[in-house]
Amino acid sequence: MGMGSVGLETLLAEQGQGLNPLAGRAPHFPGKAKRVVHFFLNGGPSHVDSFDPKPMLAKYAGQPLPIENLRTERKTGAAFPSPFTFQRYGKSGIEVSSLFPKIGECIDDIAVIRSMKAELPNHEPSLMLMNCGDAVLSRPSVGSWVTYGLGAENQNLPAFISMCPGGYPIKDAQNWQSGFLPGIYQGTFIDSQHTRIEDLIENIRNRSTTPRKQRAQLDFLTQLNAEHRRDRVGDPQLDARIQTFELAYRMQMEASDAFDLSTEPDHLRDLYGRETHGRQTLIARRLLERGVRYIQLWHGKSQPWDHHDNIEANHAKLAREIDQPVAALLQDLKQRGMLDDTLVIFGGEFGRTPTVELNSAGKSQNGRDHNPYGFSVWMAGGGIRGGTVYGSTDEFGFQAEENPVTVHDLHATILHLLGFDHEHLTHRYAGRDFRLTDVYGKVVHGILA
Amino acid sequence: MMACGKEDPAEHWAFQPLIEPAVPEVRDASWPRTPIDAFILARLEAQGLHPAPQTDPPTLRRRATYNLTGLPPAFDPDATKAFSEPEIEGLLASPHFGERWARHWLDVARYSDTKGYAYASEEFTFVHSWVYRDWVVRAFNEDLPYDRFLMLQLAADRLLARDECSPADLAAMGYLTLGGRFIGVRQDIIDDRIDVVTRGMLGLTVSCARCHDHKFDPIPAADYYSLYGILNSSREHMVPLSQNDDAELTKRRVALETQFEQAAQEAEARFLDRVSEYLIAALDISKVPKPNFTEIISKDDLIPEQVRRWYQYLAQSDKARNPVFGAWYALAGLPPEAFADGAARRLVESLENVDPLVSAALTQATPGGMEDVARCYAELLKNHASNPVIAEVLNGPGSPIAIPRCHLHDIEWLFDEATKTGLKGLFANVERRIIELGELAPHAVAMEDAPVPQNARILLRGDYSTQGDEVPRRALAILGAADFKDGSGRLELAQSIASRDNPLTARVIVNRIWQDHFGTGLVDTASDFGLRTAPPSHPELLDFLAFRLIENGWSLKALHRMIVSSAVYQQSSTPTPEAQQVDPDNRLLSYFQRRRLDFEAMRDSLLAASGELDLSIGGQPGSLFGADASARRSLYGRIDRQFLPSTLRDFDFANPELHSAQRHETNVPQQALFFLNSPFIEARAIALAARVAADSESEQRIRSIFQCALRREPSEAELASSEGFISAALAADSVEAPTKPALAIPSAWSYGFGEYDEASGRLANFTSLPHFSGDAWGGGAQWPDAQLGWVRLTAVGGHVGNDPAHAAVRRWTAPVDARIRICGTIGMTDAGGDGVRALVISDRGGVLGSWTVEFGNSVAADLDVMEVSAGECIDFVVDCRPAGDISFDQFTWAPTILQVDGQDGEVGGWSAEREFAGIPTEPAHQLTAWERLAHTLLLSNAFIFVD
Repeated sequence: MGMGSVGLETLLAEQGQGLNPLAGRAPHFPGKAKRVVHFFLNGGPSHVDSFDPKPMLAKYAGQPLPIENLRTERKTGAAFPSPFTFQRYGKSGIEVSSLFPKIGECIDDIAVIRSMKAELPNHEPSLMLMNCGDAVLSRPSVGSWVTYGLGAENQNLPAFISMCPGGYPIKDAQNWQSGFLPGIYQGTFIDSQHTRIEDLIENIRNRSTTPRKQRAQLDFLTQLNAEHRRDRVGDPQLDARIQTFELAYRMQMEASDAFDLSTEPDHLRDLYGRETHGRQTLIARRLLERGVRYIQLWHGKSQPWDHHDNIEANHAKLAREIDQPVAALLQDLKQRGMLDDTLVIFGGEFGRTPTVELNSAGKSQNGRDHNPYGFSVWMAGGGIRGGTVYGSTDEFGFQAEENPVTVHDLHATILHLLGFDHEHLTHRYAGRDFRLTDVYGKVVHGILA
Repeated sequence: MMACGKEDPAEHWAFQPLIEPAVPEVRDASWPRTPIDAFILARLEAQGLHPAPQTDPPTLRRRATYNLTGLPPAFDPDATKAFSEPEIEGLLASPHFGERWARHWLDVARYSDTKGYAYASEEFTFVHSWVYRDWVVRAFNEDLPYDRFLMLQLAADRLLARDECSPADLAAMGYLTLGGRFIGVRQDIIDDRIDVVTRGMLGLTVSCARCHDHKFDPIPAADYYSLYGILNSSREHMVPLSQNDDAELTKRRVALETQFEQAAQEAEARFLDRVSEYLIAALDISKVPKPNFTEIISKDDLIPEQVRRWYQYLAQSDKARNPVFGAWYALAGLPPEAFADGAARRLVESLENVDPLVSAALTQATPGGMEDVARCYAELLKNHASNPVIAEVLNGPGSPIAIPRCHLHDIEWLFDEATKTGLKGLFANVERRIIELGELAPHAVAMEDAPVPQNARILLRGDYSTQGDEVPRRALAILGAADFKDGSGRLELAQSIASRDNPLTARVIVNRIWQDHFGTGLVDTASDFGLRTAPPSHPELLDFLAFRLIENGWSLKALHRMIVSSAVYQQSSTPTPEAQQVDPDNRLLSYFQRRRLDFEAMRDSLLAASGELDLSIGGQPGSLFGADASARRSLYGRIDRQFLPSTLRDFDFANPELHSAQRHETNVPQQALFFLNSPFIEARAIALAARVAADSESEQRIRSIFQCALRREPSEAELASSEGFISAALAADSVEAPTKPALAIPSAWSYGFGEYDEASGRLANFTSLPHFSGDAWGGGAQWPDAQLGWVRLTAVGGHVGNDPAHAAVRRWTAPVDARIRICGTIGMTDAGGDGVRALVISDRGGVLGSWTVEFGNSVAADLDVMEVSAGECIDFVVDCRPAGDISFDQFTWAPTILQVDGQDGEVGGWSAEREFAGIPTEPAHQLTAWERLAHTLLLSNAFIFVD
């Protein structure tokens, strides 16, 4: 029997109070993926400029679309053809724009969903929806649910890590919040611009005691605790706490290693690139390799992909920063045999309008506004059928038309790939069994291997 | 045993009237000390279990002191002295009692000192959080009757108007107003308030009914929207609680009010000017963006919130009698073709309640459709302002045109984006001044009834664009559902909750208090007493306690007194083997459940152990951790719901985003890392060791550390192992002390800036960078620095300076004569710049290599084997190129210098990345043997568990 209908807390209670809530656990059924890495292009990358070619926009260039522009955060005007060229890649011949030539080379490992839809045209609720399954209310993030469901593979590292160079994205820590789940399932934030382990993991180093003296302290602690326990037999809480000190002691040694790139061979460092994103992505691979369950790699603080103006130069700049690292990760994981059970997700909180954004004077900004009605997200790796295109937007790319995929559907699919029936991974809170997908969500079978 | 979810809601135990249950007969009449014990013992006897023996006085003293005050007991050398009634009274009378129980209530109230995520135009910190917190502390210390405690939190404004409380009691309304701000989306703010009222005070999960009738409990969606109507008819109201004539605050207030008045008048003029467009837009609410669909609205746009306001105004229930809009409702119901054949005219003539001015205008206009009707109304409103019924629409209370001069929060969406942002900035300036003034200018954010309350409509599936039936403002159906008539209905709602006839209120609070004493409530879901939850472990006891609470004038201290005096509370925490078999979860309470200190008690105890704890009461919050950590109780630590420190999360602190029914109890290595390595614990250990340093004799010093940390003497075994530890630790220190590896081996690397001189092919100068941030060398604490600009070096790269005279220079000084090979890769971190120039220069041999680097084309900066002599400087120089641009000029370059032998085989080397270091400071203080002993005691299970 899976944990769903009984609730995980019951399962934990059966195992005895105070046991490690991060202990590894089996999902409902064997999942194809065991871990997840999510490239989050925060700000909203344009689908019609990257993975969803729309030649009709060229036909109407500078003219109003024959359909009414959908209402978005700001006003938009005429059709705005992509300044980038699209090219077919791989055996599948899927078109990818000149923004992402290296990802294009990996297209046969990738399933592109071209019919994503969100709900609102604003960053904050859309980030919440994509990360936590609800645009407004405080709910646990996908990574928290996955960690809650599967536990950790490696007790010496945080199970759920969000890395972002330079600071927080919009909505800050709410993007990886644990909501009503225990706080331990919250993502650990790491500013990947830092390079010292003590800036990356809190309290991981002790500067005022040598390891040998700390060991002597722990041995003394063991004596004191044994004495305390002598007439308090059969209380698992006491033993569980004793265990955490031994775990922590080992964690101090092992965590540092995961973040030390100096041991990576030059050819791999070159493959990923030596820049911020190459570094962040290579660290992610080391963490995945060591059993970290869920990793988010944000593009940067605030909302870098939010290009209301001059999208040609701005999108080109950001795409160059991640095209190589993302492709490198796919190749590197594949070469290590890890792509089979690692799910790679790539996308933003919404897409952008196929029409040009107008400023308050009604002038073109050469950029695009937010578009929750239709956009693209792609996935690769564990359980995904590569070289697939799923769904489509209308002929201009304004809204999802064929096989629309809601964010809830995306979440149901992610959980399915990890071995969960999304309707049965639940937590009892405030009188209800809550789940990531609320009362929605259908698994997108069309992209499964 | 009741089946979950299948029973008749009317029969559900929690909804039954409270009657006093008979105290059961028990076989062992000698055990009960209070009526509570009879209820407990009757269940135990029925299961063939025996209660555990009474625990020893020191254990009981420690248990009761922690439970009642959250603090450790004082050390008492006499371990045999009985724990007495006067001691219980002393604990109940302690000012720290209120602090402890306030914190439990703050979990219920989702307390936070900050608003949560907010736009940059807002101030993030609440002005009134600590004022509310201190009010709760005072209420518990003064044993404010619980019914009044609730009344004040929901309706102090109304009681004040009737002179039934003091202005200071307005602070109590923080219960409603301290929730998250949900980026100003009113529907979500109200949802949070409904949740905190219903789960917090009634143990009902009414929020479930936002989208549809509750799946399990008798809570229809209509109930949710009844409460919604009440709270939506209430507005925020910021009130000073003391006289303050701060000139700056007055100035900022005036600036806000002046700007607000001007903006409101402008907006009202635009609303009137475009009234026909608003009227037409309000005809179909499904086409209006939902409240949480945020558009950037300019002055020229129709403002969606104003359309919604018209919609709500026109959707009121007294349509037929409205002298102005009665005709509008009637005409809006006509099919379009009916306008052509004069039906509109006939209809208007047939209406009774319509003002003659209005009917004359409409019949004269012979409208051909609703657009014409709307235009006619627009003319009426613009040209007949002096007519009383028209004036009522334009300016009366509840007008759909006039902007109420109230708290900005309640009307911000009526302004265009630029105006709104401007006003919010001015409002934030006022808030900031209030925060600066702190205890000199305490403020409450209370609520007040809107002048014209409005019923809400049921939103189908919670969706604003699908509006269902209007529901009256009234109590929940299960609690009688009487319609409320007085203002918003908030006062009546408060009365219906704080009532002895409410079957839930008393049961819910006695259960919360039971839970906080015993670890688990009699009902184990403290905020959900619905049909789907497990029934109480001792239903009659729950009712008995609830009944007694009311009989005792809702005195919570009387309840605490009875619990702490009871035999069940005073049991030992050692289970019998039978109990572990029959009742492994100890729901029957055959022993006292051992508990770990929660976060606040733990932190307070650490400060108490070291003698540093500052027990002053009340006031603005301070830092919990860090260099400026406050030594005050954890209750006074700043709680930021947006950036909750991970240490709080690691220790299961209540999530301040949401009402919290009980804390999770997890056991994770992050907790142990905090104990082992956090500077906070180390500082306590150092202070604790210093506190006992006067004891020259080793055994006495150990005893003193135990007395401070554990508030007792060590056992013989503890003393022996402590002596063993300290002698080994002292020996270890004496071995290491003389060698003192204080001065680290001087690094081969240094970090500076300089200018490459093309003519000489040398670095013209090298100046050390003055500031180290922890990750980077640079010009100062700010980056870019005011003087030195962008120049910076990190372990893996850096940033060029603002001009070629400020090239970033990483210098390697050869410590020995050596054959070396240099390798590395130079890249740019950001796309978009024009690239940089990189050079390797020897101060003896000049330029060894130079490259131009652009984003996406990283270069291998590898140099062939060369000889260097000790003291030779090899500089790794990066600049912006002569006349270059410095945007996006952040680079990566962490060279490695390999030392090679005669055959060029690698024998060692230096890595810029691995050996990157900051200022060679004094090594960190090394804990002494005694400090390590003190530290270890603070880690022990004896410290953290309470039997």
